[in-house]
Amino acid sequence: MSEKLLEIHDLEVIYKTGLETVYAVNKINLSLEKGKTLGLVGETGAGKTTTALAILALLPERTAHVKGEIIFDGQDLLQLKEYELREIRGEKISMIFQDPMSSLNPILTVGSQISEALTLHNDQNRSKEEIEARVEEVLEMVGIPAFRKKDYPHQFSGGMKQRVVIAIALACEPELLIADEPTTALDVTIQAQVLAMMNELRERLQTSMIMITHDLGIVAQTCDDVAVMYAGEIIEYGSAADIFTGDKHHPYTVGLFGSIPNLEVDSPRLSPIEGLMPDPTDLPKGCKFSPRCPQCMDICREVPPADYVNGGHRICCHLYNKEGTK
Amino acid sequence: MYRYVIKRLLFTIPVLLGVTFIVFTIMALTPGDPGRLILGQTARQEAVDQLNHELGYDQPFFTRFFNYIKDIVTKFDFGVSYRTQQPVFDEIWARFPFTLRLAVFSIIFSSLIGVSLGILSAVKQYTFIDTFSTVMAMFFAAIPGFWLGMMLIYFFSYKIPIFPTHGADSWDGFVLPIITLTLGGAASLLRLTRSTMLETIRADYIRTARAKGASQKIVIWRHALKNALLPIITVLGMQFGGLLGGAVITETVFAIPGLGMHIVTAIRQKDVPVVMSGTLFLAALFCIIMLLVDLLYAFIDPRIRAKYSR
Repeated sequence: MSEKLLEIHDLEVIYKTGLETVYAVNKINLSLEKGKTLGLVGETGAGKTTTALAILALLPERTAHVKGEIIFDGQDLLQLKEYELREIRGEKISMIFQDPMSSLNPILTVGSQISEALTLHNDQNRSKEEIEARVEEVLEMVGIPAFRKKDYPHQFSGGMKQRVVIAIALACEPELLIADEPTTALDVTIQAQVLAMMNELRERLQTSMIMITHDLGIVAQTCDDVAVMYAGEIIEYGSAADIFTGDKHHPYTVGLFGSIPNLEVDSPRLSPIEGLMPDPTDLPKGCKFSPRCPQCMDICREVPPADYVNGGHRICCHLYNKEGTK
Repeated sequence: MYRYVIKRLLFTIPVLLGVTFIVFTIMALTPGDPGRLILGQTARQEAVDQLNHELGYDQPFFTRFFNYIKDIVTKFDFGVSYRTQQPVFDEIWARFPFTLRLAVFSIIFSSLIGVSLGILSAVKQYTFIDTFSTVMAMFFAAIPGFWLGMMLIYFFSYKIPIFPTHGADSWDGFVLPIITLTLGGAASLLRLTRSTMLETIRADYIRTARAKGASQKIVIWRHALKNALLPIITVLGMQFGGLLGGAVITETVFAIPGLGMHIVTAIRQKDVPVVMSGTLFLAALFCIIMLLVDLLYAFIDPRIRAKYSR
């Protein structure tokens, strides 16, 4: 087994406001090896983005309470001071944000937004010219002609903006890239281009990646490992092979796959997972998925399930536990 | 860009014509005539009629309006004050420096205080600084200018005589009126800056900047402030225009012979040429300030720049 780049132990994020307490992420464990890609899958509101922002310590300080350990390169990120974090952000860990339309500063040229990261983390003492050359190089790398660095975000289309966002994230050649639904805002043809580009870049730069998405197709294309999140918990974790071809699954994962429309079978209706994600201010006592689970048992409503472990494959469900019926 | 400026300058012509027409109509609809005003209540009616005829006041409304415009456009003649028989433009020009001095200094101080405290309380939201400056802003926005002016006179001219109570002969006479105008303006600017900054700080691109490893200083000054500046500049421009014409109360309290006071006196005495030209002058100034504001917009925001050059 190769070296672990990122390990998350018992990460917990609670948003506390005057009115309510939101349990966004509840004691999750993750690990990521160098050069590998981890897919973080789940519905909207499952806590995927919160997890990502917690890694970068970009959660709102006043309301978000973070507990646990986030070990990156042997350091616990949660113990670092703000100035130490600034050294890591953008240089060692960078993030591609969800909405390219609003993720770029409208009043700065894209070139200056890319060079900013390079100037902030200028360990190699690059001159201005060298930084500009690197900006052009990065732009070309994401498929934007270098002369457009003087343009402003409003002069770019959505797909081009997303490329710029990716260029910003890749400028410093980070060790870990967190891609938060990088293709959600794009139409399908551009999606494929952007994904292909990210895959290619990842192979060339040997970057580890956390791919946050709710699109299982993207997971299949890009990820080595997959973590399925539900209501702030990782309910199934394993290699892509475990998730896509394994025979045992969490009922939620089964539901996720079930809701993908199948072209080969003529079905009159889609088959969604019935019901909604539980209210994060008032989570169920037992298994968080129990109210929606088609295979729900009595024990599920009372006792939170423990992990069923089979090699690298973890399923957090009573169905497969010794105490369970199966 | 030049085309835009020229276009905007051309647009001010209908605006000024409109302003002139409206004020002219209002003045024409109010009772009284210049002949009676100049000669006084005891003058004979024939003499009054005679004078009105000489002034052209017996002519129909539209003829008078066109003559007024014609004199301005062709001879740059704004008429003669009924009351003082002095050329109107000279009177306005003589009083304008007082008003300009008040307006310029109070807008500079109020933007320095208001914007910087606004940024500070947005960045340090919910801390003591934030609460303190918000409360102070509400206090100064709520108290009327004349009361603040009188309190300042009471404390700093009467109790501790540092500054004169009134007068515009020397610099120290301007200190208290400028403070009066500054505090009110700074208070509303602070509240506006705080709210726009708070909105901007929560924007996605600010998070992108933080994710790049930018320090708080860079995030605030380079990324947030410039974006938050647009509404602030608009309000600054409007405050400045308002100060030029509307510092009447402050000018009255401190007996400063400024433009606002001049126009208000003229309105009371139905000195039509003064009212007309005073309003026209202020409207022209306002148009120019707003043009400058819009050009500043373009300077800050490339999206607006792109729109202008189209």
